[in-house]
Amino acid sequence: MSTPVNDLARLSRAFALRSGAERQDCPDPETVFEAAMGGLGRDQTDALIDHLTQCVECSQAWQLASALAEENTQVTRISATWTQPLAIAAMVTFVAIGATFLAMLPQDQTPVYRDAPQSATVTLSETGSLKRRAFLLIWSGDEQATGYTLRVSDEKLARLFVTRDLKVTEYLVPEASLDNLPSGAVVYWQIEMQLPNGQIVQSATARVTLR
Amino acid sequence: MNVTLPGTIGLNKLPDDTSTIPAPLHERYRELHLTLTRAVRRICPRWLAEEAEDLVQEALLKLAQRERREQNVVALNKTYLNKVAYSVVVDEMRRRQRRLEPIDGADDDVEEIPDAITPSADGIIGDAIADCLSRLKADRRRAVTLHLLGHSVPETAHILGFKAKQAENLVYRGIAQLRECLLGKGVYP
Repeated sequence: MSTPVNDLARLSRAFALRSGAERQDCPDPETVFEAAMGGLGRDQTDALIDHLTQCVECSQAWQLASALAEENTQVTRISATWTQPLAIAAMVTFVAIGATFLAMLPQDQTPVYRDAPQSATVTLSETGSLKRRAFLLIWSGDEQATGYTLRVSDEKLARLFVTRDLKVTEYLVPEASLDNLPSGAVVYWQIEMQLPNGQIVQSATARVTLR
Repeated sequence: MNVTLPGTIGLNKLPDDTSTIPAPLHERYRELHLTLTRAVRRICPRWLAEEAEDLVQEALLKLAQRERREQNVVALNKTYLNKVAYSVVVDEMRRRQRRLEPIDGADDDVEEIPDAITPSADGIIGDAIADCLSRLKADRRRAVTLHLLGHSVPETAHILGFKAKQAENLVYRGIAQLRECLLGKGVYP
């Protein structure tokens, strides 16, 4: 074979396209990430680079991790050179203004209490589509809530899944309850929040496409 | 009351957990989702781009599973979130490449298949390079490997823990030896 290899870029490109049998000894992605961040010892880093020489997949993983590591370095560098002095200056200014403001406050000022609590609401996270095995629904409610009821239904509003008395504000819907729906099906969900005074607050209905 | 502290999430506590309700997570979720989306999109290869949103969901699940394992909210920072996003992307890349799984709806679109699984003349040259690299001394081989993966000499020095001059020598002598080896195989640098 006589193939011209003209420059380093060509060498790099060809190196990236080398073949290589599927390997069973690839390090996990977390290890590659740690190495790229400079978080591994010398011996471990050397061993990893020896692996990269032979393994195309891990080389690609290394390059992705290096891109993130480079970004982290840039952020740190920018922070060190610009934001630290600015932050210190801002802090000094803030303290000075705060001290002046406190000194100007009348000492016998009557405390002002806020009005009765505003009505509680439930807000659903906006999610366009979800995989059936990762159908994680998240919402926010009121700190005083005593429990939540989650209702999931299909496009015809037939009930697919209900769970009551949840004490948390997220829920991974069991994959089995979505078994009868094809990919692309529309799923609706709604939250009902119970308050200590017995009041029930209903959320809007959110729409999710099943993937 | 169990308050979710700044820099933490309260995702996916066990559904039958009877502890008090954490503070509202909506804003935190949005922020977390945004950070993970940015990280995933930054490193996601073009041929995996359509899966980006799914990968973000995988990353969220991974965080939730960690909290469930540790039975507590987990302290988060950008580096950790990057690491989680990175892990799900790399896991998916490995799964795809090992199964040679075609992209949905792009079965006949050769451009969408990753280059690494397409046989080519460059691939054959790449094998020759890998073989020649294996003949270099360890330090030289590592330096050249990093250089071929796109690292500059100063970066190579930093990663390998060498002085800049030492790394420079390793890279340039290593490249010269590599070219010589390729010549010996009929691959003319």
